[in-house]
Amino acid sequence: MRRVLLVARREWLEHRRQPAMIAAMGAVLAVIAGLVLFVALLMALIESQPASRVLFEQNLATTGMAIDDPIHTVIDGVLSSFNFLLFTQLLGMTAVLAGHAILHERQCGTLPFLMVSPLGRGELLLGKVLGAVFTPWLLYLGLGGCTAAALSALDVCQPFAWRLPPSPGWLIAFGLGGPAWAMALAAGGAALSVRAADVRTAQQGVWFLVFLASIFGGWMLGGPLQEDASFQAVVALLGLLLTAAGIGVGTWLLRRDLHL
Amino acid sequence: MEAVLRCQNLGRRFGRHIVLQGVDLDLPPGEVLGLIGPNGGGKSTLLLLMAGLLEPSAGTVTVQGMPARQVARSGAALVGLLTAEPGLYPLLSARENLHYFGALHGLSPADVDARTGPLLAGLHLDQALDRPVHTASSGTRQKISLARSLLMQPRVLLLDEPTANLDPVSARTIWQVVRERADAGLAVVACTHDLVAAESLCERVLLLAGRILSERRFPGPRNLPPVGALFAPYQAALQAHPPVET
Repeated sequence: MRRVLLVARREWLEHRRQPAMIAAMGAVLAVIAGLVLFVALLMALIESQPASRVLFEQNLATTGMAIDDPIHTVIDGVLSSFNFLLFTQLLGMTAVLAGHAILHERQCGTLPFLMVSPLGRGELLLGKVLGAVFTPWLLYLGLGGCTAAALSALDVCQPFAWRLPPSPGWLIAFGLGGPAWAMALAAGGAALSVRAADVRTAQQGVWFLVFLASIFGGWMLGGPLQEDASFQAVVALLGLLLTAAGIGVGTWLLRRDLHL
Repeated sequence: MEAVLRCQNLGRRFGRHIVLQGVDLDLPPGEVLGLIGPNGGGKSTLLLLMAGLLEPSAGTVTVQGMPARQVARSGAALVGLLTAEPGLYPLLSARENLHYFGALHGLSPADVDARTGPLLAGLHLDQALDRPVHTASSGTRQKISLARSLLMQPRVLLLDEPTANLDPVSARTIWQVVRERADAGLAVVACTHDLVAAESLCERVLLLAGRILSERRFPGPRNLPPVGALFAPYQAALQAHPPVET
């Protein structure tokens, strides 16, 4: 495990040397947080002022959208979108970082030196996965966690408390499911990068992973939060199993002859 | 003297294409073995086989009696490697690179500094140690890579065109360190297109083109390749105008 952490730490060190990259990742989450908070606060404001509420409902009616409870319908949509975007962006950012994992070593010319060191192939890949997850996870934890906490403090969001902390389903999805699926995506990206001969191949592979993550990962983590919390525990476990499978496949691919 | 590296009927094919066949050689400690030959002649493949990074299709290659593949997987650090590409992380400093590779072998940063310090000081690299590698000249990067390849005090050093991208002064520095280490007992296999360097430095040179075509021994003490009339002014110019390290 010591060598795994060495690889992860070195990855993180390289990320730290690229503040523009971290800023771009932070900007994605900041835009999501800003938009969601803006709409939620606006709805809270409208709800607190009866005149504004009537005006809002009348304006909606003129557009042909006859909704019984428009404020809470908007809030429901906003919270649903927030969770979906929060989880999919974590998965996507991680996949992009991990999709170059071994290709990066190949491009730096460091792979042969790693292969003649005591570092195991599986250790290298697991270190790469942890290194890829760490920076997006910190941003997700900080920006996503704070935004969710702020939303849960708004009265207007209370009818949908199951979509926010401290509901057990959300806490499991946020604390375990998101990171587990991010690791699964990173493991898949790292495995792809073993055989990618060119950065464009790796990027297309990553795009496919991001597509899958958006469809399935985002839905499972952000969608059925109203289910029993055990559903989210199963989703998190599935993410961990997929991580192990991805690392296993990558290790098998790396065990073959090394072509420099 | 007992061979530290041994190839017996060593061969390698890629699909139907036979790249290397029937290579038999013993390498004793302290010998520099040169590998010369045309591009695609199997020199780099032979080095990869010796490093344990490729599986032989035929025959065996052993380092101190242990199959090279096993040596590589065990991380026994019997083999040091220096390739034409320095193989360093460009965003990390030279020191961070050395500490990282040392740590993978279980060395503390202090151990790494102690082991590489004299060599790096001798190569005048003290100033470059804490700058990101991507800002260093190719000569500096290759010297750092050389320090990395010697870090674990290997028994065999494999060089794959180590001076291919270097100016003549940096190339000579690399060869000088290699020769000194060989004189101290390190076994070296050097794959190069520099025939003058091979003839001057190596005790033995193999001409390789899919198999060993010829073997030539050079008796007597080996030394650095001779320099031409342009070398001294070149060196003086380099000292007056060192490479810009951004």
